[in-house]
Formats: sequence, structure tokens, C-alpha cells
Amino acid sequence: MNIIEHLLPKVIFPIQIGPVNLSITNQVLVMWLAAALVVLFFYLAGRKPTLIPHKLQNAAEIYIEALWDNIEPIVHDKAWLPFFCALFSFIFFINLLGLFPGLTPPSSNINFTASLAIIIFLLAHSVGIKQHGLIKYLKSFAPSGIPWPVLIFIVPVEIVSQIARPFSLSVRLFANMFAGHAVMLTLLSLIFVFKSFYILPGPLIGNILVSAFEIFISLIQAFIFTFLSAYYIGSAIESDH
Amino acid sequence: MGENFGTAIAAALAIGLAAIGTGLAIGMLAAKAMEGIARQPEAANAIRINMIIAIAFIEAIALYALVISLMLVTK
Repeated sequence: MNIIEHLLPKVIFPIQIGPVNLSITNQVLVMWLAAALVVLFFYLAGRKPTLIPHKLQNAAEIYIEALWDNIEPIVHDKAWLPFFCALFSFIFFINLLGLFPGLTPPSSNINFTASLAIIIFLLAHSVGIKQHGLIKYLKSFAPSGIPWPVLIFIVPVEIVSQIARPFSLSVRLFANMFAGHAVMLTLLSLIFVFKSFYILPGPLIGNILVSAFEIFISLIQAFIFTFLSAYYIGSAIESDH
Repeated sequence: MGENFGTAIAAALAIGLAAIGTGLAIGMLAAKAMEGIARQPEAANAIRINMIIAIAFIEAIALYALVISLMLVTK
């Protein structure tokens, strides 16, 4: 289907090491650009910190404080702040860069979001095991003070819901970004369906509105990803049902 | 009936039925949130951020159906 191929990654520089395909696609370039922008933003903001902040430092302070006010009730340890700030900034900048014409966000690729979700999943469980020890952490799947016939139902349901977490995390971000670009492409392809340029105001206004909505969705989806990973990590750390 | 008849019907039904449930759920959620804000305007910020989080959860369910629909259409 030749509509979908505009949404798939385009290989720019093929690198094949045995069975592993490490090609540089246009989405990988956007990912590197977003990472460079995040590093540049926070480096320039923290260069000469003064007590009464100058402009860029002010922006970064509002940014980090707004994020931390929502994450702090879940993980109470301030040592997690750099990790969640990096995760949120990375996903947010990637989503925003996808709105520029010609750039495709890597978060519209299931491989990228699945990698992030697997990292969060492994991180949550390893932090929980490190904190409580393996036996006690496995025992926390069965909440205490419940009669044992109910427990036979609760434990598989709990295990399934734990396995569904990385799936839902990755598919949520992937589908939101992919659907946004698919809607824009579908509106533009109306011109080819009608085979004339006279309907151009329709798709044009539609694309402008969808792009404005996509800015909002980029922020919300980046925040939801960060918030949910904080929730999973926080619930693995405390783990007292 | 062409060869892709069943696939096309399945793809349309998947996202259509999911959209019904999602629309109803988000509508009810937003209505309750508006009621809460009208009752206590000082809590507007807290209610708004929680409403947006809940909307993202409900929307994710509709997007699972969208992924299935896209997989059906392109295969």
C-alpha cells in the first residue's frame, strides 16, 4: 500500500553486521538531533547559574519544576529526577521534531517505543528486586491477608497485568504518533483522490488543525510515558500492598 | 464479494466499535471533571491534570484497536 510507505523509515546509510541490521534511517537522524538538542538546552540553561535566574535558566527551572511536582508524590527520592527529566525531554523533543516538514519521529516506529518500554520494565523489576530481595519481591505479587482460594485467581491476573504493562506503554506512544502522521497523510491524499487542486483549502486547514492538536498530543504522550514509568518504578520500590 | 471483503469489514468494525466505547467513556469523564471544576474552581489545576492522564489511558484502548485495524488493512 503506497500510502503507508511514506510513514515507514527510509534507509539512508545501510549497515549490516551479520544478521543485525544497524542501518542509519531518517528516524535515527531525528533521534540524534533530538538528543543533541536536549543536551544543548540543558547545558546552556545551567551554564552560569545565578540566584535570580536569567531567561533560559528560568525556562529550564519552570520545566523541571513542573515535571517534578507531578512525579514527586510517586517516587519520593530526588535521585530519580535526572532520569525522568531526561526521559521526558527526550520523548518530548522527538515528538515535537516530528512536526517539522520532512522529519519523521522515531516514536512512530514500534521498535523505538518498545525499546524504551523494555528498558522501563527491566528497570522497575530490577530496582524492586534490589530493594526487597528476590523472594520477598516475588511474594509481593500475592497481597497479604487474603484467603487462599481467592489467591489462586489473583496471582495470575496480577502476573498478566504486569506483563501487559510494557506492551501498553509502547503501543500507546507508538499509536498516538503514528496515527497523527497517518491522519495528516490521509488528508493530503484527498488531493490525489479528487485529482484536482481546487479542494486544497480543505486538506490545508485540516493539516494545520491536526498539527496544532499534535503539539498538544506530543506533550501529553511524553508526560504520560514518564508518569507511568515513574508509577511502575515507584510501585516496585515501595511494594507494600 | 471480493477477496478482501472479510478483512475490510473486520478492520472497519475494529476501530468503529472501539471508537464508540472511547467516545462514551471520555465524554462521561470530561462531564464529571467539569462538574468538579464548577463546584470548586480552586481545584481546577489538579482536576485538569488528572483528567488528562485518565483521557490518555482511555484513548490508549482505542489506539490498540487502531493498531489491529492498520495491521489488517496493510496485510
